[in-house]
Amino acid sequence: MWSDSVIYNVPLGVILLLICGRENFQYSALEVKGEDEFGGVYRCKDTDTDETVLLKTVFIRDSSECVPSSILTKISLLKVMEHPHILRLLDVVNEENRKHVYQVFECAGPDLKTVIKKFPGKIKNPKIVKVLLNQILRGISLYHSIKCIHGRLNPHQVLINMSNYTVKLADVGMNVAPSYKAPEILLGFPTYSFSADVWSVGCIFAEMVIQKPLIDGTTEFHERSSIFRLMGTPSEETLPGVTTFFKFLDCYAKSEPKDLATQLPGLEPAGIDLLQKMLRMDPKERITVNDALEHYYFGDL
Amino acid sequence: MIYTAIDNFYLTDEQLKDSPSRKDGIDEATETTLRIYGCDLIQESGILLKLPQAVMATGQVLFHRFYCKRSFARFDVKIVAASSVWLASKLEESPRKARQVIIVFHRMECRREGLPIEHLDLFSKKFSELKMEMSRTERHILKEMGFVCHVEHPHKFISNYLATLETPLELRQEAWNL
Repeated sequence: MWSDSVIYNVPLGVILLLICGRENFQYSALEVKGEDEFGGVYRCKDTDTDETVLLKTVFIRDSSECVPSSILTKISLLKVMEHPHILRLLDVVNEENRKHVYQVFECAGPDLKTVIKKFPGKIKNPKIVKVLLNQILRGISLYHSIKCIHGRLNPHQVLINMSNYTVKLADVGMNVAPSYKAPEILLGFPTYSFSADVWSVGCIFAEMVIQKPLIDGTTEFHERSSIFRLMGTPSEETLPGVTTFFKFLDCYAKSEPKDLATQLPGLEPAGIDLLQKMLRMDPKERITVNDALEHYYFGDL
Repeated sequence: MIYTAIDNFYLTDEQLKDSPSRKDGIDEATETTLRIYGCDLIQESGILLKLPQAVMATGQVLFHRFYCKRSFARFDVKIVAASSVWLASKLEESPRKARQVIIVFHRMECRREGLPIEHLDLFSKKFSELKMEMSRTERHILKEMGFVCHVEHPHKFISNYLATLETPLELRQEAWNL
């Protein structure tokens, strides 16, 4: 995962050899950010320009199929996305006889999770929360304007430059924490849309305010019960289709929706109003990103 | 609202006239013929591979773009056409295996050139060579485009505009078929 606390016993040089397969690779690893069976994320130095970059590797399981279709479209779109709040994809390396595709991203500050952990209270200031949220929404609005869903938005993907509080949205994370998945995904709805991103932004917004996850849970089961405790157990009225797509609703304790204002004591009423519109169970009722940017919570920015 | 140029492959008239193939001594008429031949191969293989029409359209766009940067003299039309179909099938989310694409192209080649249609052995040297050639070409195409390879087709816009202009249904169908 995206934290600095992971300690690896393998020296970096060995990892470098492992990920690159040869020594004279343009990028040399400085730090391992995270690894799983599909690849890893490394902080690297570009030996040509001396710049620090983030290197994401994706393992090609079936080497005869070249670049897998799952990442092809994403790379292609990311390559043309130029926006102050989206992490630039600088280069893609795909050479013969390599089992990986390397994506080279620009390097940006620590992610939101680390910021909350390492600098407690640093971004608690309501004004800063507002600025950060605004930037996150603007980044997502670019995704949505080109008919793209980010889909894996969570605090690990929000990189913050601590000197001027600029946000860059990344798409480099590994395992998506379930805590930020929209209910329609967790409840197995066959389709989801842009509104799923809005839910994730809402969760991140709340996390910035209370400095801990609003919805917590390590498994999807805990995750669902946490959502139900907060938003109330869904029914056909609050979330049409839930009984068709999710058969195990009876396994969860019945609960009533809670007042968000009591859960987030530090937030001004305008913010509560915006958050309520972002965290609607029914994706159709959720506010769109562009409407959220017009919300009066941002009136004094 | 922020505007992003999603489709950003534009060339000037001069660039189009002064194509890489021209530098290798291929005249304009020959280049046009080769382009038509390549697109024909892509369309036919797409039908044989049971791909949706969008894949063929994307493949043909990729094919044209590639030959705006590279010469017909250096890259074999058939292999580039095969790679374009393969890449397009991945881009449009109806992927086909390299094996399927190669077999279809082999069969088309036999048929078009009047050779006896023979089965292509999956463990033959020829097959593995074709496969390697195809993935190498795919890498070339991707590198040439800098991995920017999505294509926005005009069909949905045309259909919308024609509907707004209240044109006859036949015209809309005709435009959609293009």
